[in-house]
Amino acid sequence: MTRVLLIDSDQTHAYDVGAYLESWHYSVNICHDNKDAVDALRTDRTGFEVLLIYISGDHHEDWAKLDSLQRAIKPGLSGPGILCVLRADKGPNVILMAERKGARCVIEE
Amino acid sequence: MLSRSKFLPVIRGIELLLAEKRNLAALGPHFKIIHRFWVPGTICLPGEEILTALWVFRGREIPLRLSLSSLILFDLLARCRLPQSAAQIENALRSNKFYSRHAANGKAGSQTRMIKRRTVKVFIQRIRRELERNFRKYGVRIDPRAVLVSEMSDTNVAVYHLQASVEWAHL
Repeated sequence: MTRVLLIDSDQTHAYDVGAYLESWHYSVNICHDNKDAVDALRTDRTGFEVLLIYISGDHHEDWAKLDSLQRAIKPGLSGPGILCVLRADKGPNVILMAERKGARCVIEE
Repeated sequence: MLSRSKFLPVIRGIELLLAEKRNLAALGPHFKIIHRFWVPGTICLPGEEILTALWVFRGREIPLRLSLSSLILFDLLARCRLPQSAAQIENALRSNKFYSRHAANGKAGSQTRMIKRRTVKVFIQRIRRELERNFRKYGVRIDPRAVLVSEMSDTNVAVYHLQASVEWAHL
């Protein structure tokens, strides 16, 4: 089962997303703040395959969070992929910035 | 379930990431090596020049800043995927006319570089540094030592191989 680490500060929304992903047979761990996510990445032994991070797209803080997650990932060919999710369309620059940081980016419909 | 369909792009995004990850784990990153001074109708014959090597990443072609010696070594490792020691690499470079007559089709004549076995390790490290610089620049957490791999043989001799998919293009 694919393991997903979901990072979303909005608890209600995070549980909705988590339940939806579980209905698609993903195994989901939820963190509400970045520090917990970094700790989870450093201590988890089996490894996550995907990091799903909800970003606002409005703040530099988003990118600092992404950088700290990147640093917590052990380099290799099998590390987790990062997917940034926006809850609203914030224009192409946010998507380009996420890609420049090695992540992919999608927008909730 | 219907109200949750807004999360469908997330599922699609995850599927794409997983496909990319599987591909990377199985084949390694993708590179393109450009040869020039080729004779139409032929491919990779002596006299051609290794112009550059590019890392192909999410639709971008990112040139690697490698010296001629490093380019020659990279091309050799890309062609022969089997692990080779420094002595075998030196021997291959001396024996293969593609490398001993490198760029001879150009007006300036042949531009060869003979890498001696004792310097192979240095060029391997230089290539890794350039890979690392690019991986870091584009936010990709790939260890260059997992791409340009060195392992020890049963007699404790280092052998090198490239864990990557490579294509060649001719200008």
